[in-house]
Amino acid sequence: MLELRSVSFRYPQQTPIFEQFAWKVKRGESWAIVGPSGCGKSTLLYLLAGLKLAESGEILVEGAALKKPRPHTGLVLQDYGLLPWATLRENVTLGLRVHRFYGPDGIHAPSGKVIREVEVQGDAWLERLGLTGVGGQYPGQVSGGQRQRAALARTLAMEPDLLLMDEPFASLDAPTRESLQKFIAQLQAETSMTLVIVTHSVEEAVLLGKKVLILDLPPNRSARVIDNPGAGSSDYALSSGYQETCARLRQKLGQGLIQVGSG
Amino acid sequence: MSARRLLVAAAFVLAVWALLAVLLRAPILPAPWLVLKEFVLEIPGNLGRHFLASLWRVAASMAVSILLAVPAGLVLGQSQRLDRLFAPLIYLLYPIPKVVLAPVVMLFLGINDLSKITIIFLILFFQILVLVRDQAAALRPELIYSVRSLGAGRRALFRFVYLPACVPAILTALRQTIGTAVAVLYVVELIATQYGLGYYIYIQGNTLFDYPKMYAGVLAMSLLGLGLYYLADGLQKRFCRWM
Repeated sequence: MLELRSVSFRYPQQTPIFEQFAWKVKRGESWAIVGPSGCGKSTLLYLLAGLKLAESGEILVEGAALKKPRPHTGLVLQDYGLLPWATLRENVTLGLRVHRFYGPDGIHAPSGKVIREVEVQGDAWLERLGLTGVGGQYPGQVSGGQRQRAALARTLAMEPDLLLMDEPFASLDAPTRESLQKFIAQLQAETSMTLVIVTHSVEEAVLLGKKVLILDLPPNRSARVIDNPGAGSSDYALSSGYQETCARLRQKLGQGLIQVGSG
Repeated sequence: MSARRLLVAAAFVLAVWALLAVLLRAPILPAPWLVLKEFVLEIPGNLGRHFLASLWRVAASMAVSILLAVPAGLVLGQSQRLDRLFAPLIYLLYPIPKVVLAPVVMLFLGINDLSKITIIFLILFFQILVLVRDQAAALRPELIYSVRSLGAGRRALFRFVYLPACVPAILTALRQTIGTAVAVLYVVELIATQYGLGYYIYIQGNTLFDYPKMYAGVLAMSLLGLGLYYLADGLQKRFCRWM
């Protein structure tokens, strides 16, 4: 599904974030990416989304080199992703309207797919995410949880085969966060969607990622991976396996930092 | 502002005016009912023509300012490099009171509508440019990223993000500058023209000494400013409900 081949990336006048970095994601896998602030978690996500381009190396999605955002990749960010001047319903249908705006050109929108009944689709997604009553409200008028649900609905309405999320639940209160984590885990189990979620929370990473990619302070040269096959099942959070994996991940994260700190 | 409260305020202004007129008993301050009578009699004819001439000049300046300042503001707001290049120039030109350029503009463009429209345009242009630029620069990169991830290229970003984002800036700029624009309109209409409310007010007051008509002109000019202000205000309420 996803393959990074000796990818290098740096921001101008800074230490390279990735150097000859290689990583592979198979179709239908769920990955969590963790690491300290500034390690390049979000940058990696933007690279995968085609919003930033690698300095050298190649990023392949479904075997094709990624040069720009592809229509079947969905992206959900921590905040500020919704248009503040549009209602939640308008926000949820934004992707569909963008596709209709271009027509099925195969570049901006999937080819061979005519967008119909945008409103009907939008309402269905609002309902699915429990937003039926607030479709006419503006993002500034609803809670953070409702905003994030709307952002999810907007992305899911595009029927993505790859869902990228950058700290999607970081600014939410605990109950809202847990219900959305559950929703994502369920969705991932039901569909064959590939999931990559960036998080700073060890618990969230272990809860949602069947595999966890650990990034260190830059430059990142190789992918450190923890297998976590139990993730996504309904009562995993109560099991001893979950606790052990959390502890192991914490330890690995600490190691990375100490190595960098002393070297 | 509710219509009822505005009517109360208008009634108060009229009452003070009427009281002063009765107390002073001077020809230079006719009672409001005399002025209103002149206004009603004159507006379908002579005063109406002058009103339309003034309206055309302000409306044309507004339209041209929006058409030129909005794209320029969007480009500067989105390109840090271009903004760095032009910022000192704008910083220098923005605070200059454009009305002092009136004689210069008239020398270059001649004594016609074009020079009058140009002077008002200069005032509106910078105000809209600066507000739209700042609005476009304040758009968070996260917002652009997430809309791009939905497949939006340059055209869709313009249609779905930049354009709606700068509507409040345009309307705010208009609301803030309408007062100045009408004031400058008065000044430029004093100079070598036969039409316009500025000319009408001046001729009635200083040449014909017909004070009720002069005040009718003042009233027309006030209504022009007020009408444009409420138009911008109404559009802002209609299109910026999210704010």
